[in-house]
Amino acid sequence: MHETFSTGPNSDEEVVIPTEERAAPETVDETNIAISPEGTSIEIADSLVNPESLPPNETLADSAAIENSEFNRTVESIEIGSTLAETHEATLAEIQQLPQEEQAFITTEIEQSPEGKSIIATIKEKFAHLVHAQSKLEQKLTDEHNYNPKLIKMVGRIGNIAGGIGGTIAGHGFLGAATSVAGSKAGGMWALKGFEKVAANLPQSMREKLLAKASPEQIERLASAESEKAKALEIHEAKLAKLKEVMDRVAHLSPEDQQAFAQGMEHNIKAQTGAEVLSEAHTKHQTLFEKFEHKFPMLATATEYTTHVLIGPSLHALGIGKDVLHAIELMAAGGGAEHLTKKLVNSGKHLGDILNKFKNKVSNLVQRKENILDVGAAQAA
Amino acid sequence: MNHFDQPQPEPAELTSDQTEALIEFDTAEKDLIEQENFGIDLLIQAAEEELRKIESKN
Amino acid sequence: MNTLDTAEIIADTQALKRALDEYNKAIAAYLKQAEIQRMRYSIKQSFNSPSN
Repeated sequence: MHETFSTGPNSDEEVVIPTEERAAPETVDETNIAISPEGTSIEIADSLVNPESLPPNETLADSAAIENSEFNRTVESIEIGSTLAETHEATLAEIQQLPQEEQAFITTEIEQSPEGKSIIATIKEKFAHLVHAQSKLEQKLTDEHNYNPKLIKMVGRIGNIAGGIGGTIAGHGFLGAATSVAGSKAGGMWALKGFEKVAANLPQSMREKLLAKASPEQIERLASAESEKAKALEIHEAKLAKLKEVMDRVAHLSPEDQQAFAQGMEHNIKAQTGAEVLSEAHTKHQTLFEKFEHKFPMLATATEYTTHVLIGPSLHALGIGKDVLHAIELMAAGGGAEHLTKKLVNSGKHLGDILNKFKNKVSNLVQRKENILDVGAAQAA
Repeated sequence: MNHFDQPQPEPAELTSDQTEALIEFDTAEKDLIEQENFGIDLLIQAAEEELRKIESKN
Repeated sequence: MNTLDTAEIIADTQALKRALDEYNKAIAAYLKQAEIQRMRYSIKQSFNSPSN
């Protein structure tokens, strides 16, 4: 299968891209522009841009023969390409503004299809080339002041584009799943400790954006988001405790009454609805954790404070949840409520498993981060 | 497990991007917890209803 | 307009143009997929019952 694209509004050139050209990677982080937990991909980022894989340059001898007018045409073509890229960025931004459910559907479908994976792999590769070409030129142009104002402007413009949403796709391998990563505005993948080595190859404009500390307003919003989550967790705790209390009363009934209770629950509309709602939330919660590293790579290697904030409340809820699960399992053993309790027990158990894996994963990440810092400190010494 | 038992260290400065990502994550999780709360509420109400039926029979 | 004094700059500029064109194509492919999925979603929605 092939797809055909024109190269720009003023171009009648069409290019055919064979969509089966590239083997789709199994997971989006197998391409070497993703940040690996070990941090070694920071080293690899340089070699990602393998000169041999870049489009061939003219030799200097050939270049010498090129007329100024051809150079001007090239610059103009870059201007057209920049405008097109900016239009694309606007469309990508539109997608990010869609209602959450719709956006999640679109991005998930793309990210999971073989074709979509191939496209994303291509974006990563082409983005790397673009950043490389842009930064190479920018470095040279800053040495030659007043060199060619138009070209300088174009190079700067491309720097902004490279820092845009397309850069997020290149960096994360996705646009933004159920919750869009707001850090996309600065190609957020790079925003983690130790990215300095990679940053050396990035344009200055990008580096500044990415290093920017959180503003007081952002810190306030974060505090607010954390406090709201803490409140929800408090309520969660209280409700779980209440449910446990009710289940304890059930446990003290006679076996016949327990069975009658279980059967009553099986047919109770509220119970059925509650189980559905809870089960669905558990599934979404699982996904949020499972995809944590992919969705929030910048957090995966951020500070201990961050990981503590993320892990603590979840583990806390897990502990409490276990009691309730136990109570529900007792109910299931009593018989007569298989469908209902099975649903809850399975989803709850699965969530428990995921939370445990998640906890281990983050614990590993924290350990690796410490190893990186140790290595870095040793090297600096 | 040690990391979570240790006293919380002085939070290092977060970048703008990290902060936005954290806000997104917290908000997403908060929404899910609220949904779970709603589900648990319904279970509690159902269980209390059924218990009342049984207790009123005895 | 300044006179060019390095052939290297010319070569680099052409490389940038090529890189930009390729990148644009790749993003365009993504957007095309997004359009398709958007349509699928709206069709799906029109068949679903509105009550959740």
